[in-house]
Amino acid sequence: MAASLVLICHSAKLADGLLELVQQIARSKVVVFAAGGLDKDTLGSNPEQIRSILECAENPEGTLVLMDLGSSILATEMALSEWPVERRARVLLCDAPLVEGAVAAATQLSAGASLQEAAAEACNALQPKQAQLGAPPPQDAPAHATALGTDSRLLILTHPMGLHARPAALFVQTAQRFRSEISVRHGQRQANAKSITSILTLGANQGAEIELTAEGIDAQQALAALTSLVQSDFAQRP
Amino acid sequence: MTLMAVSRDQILACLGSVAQVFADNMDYLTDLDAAIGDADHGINMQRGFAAVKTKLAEVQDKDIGTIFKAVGMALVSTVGGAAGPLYGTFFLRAGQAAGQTQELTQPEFTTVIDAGVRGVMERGKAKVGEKTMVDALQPTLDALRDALAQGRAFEEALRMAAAAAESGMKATVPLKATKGRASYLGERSIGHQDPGATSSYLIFRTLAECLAP
Repeated sequence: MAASLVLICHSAKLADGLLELVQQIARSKVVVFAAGGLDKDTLGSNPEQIRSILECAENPEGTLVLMDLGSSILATEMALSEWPVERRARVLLCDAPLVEGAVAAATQLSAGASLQEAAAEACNALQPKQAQLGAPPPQDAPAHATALGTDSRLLILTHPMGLHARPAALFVQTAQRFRSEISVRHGQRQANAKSITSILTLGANQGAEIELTAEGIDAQQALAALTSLVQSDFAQRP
Repeated sequence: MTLMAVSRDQILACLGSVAQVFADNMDYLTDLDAAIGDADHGINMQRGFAAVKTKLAEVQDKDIGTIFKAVGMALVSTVGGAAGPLYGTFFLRAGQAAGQTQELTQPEFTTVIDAGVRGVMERGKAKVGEKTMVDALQPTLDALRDALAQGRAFEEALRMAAAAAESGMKATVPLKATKGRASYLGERSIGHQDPGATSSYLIFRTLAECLAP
């Protein structure tokens, strides 16, 4: 069972739209709730609504909460203010950007990440956008070159979305099934195949050539699975 | 006759007056908030205190603590913006401090306001000088404490509190916002009076007008 994800917006419409976007990734693997607006017609935050949602979202693995603007944070803290310490401790209010963080968190949680791991990914979720718009790439990918005991594959991305959005999420979910270290190279950039934010920094579009490298006990299986996924245009379910 | 204690019925009357003041000043607060915020403080406070007024009818025979808590809950669930949790916490903590009493003496009133202001500062994490309601609330509390320490009459304390709230509110004009929506404006927030400090001033001005005319 994964930690649950709660998204708090100032707008009910934004909440609905974001929920739709995130559920596409989370599917049935992660429980996601969104709260938006003072009510469905009024912008703002409603601590009582937020408290009800946090109660619904409660589970032993914890709840990750992402919020849009300052008063959403105030309202969420207020909603939690009457919970006893142990109960409150299972709720993590994360300072990640809302949309990008929700996508990153849902991807990680649906692949079995813990609450803390998902929160960490969410906090780094602006990196792909920054990279795409020209900031220097992040340094978190495995730095070693292909060595003995590793194997690699060169693939062309034929899917129209390249390695973005849902294909990227499926790619990461597949990679996370394996124990090997898996990296993806696109041009000069290298990414960790098990990190959605790292993959998205590659900016690999349709037609791009990528090099998959796996090192570890199940490297061959990992490469086979990922190759199959890419070559089937991500038609397979992981 | 000198005011020795504020009664439950006087509190109810004051809160009704505050609701009217927020209805009357909705556009004024909206304009202030349009300059450095999202232009909803006026309508939020009007809506919040309209809900308070409705709620008061249900608690008019209760103790002051219960009344303040009801005010807090009504604001939390109807204001929508940051003022909801902030004023909500103010009144909830004030209610907790007041307890099951039918009147508040000057020291008790000061303790109640102290609890409310500390609640706001804990909830919003703002200090004086950040261009928020705290810039009006802290001087108000200081004035009440000073008046008590100096042995001033309750009415005089309330007038001093209102005056302190007014000067605290005006002092927000040259400040740069580091909290709330106005903080997104940075330097451009300078030169505008903070709407939250203004609504706090309006509350204490109304209290002084009701209790110490």
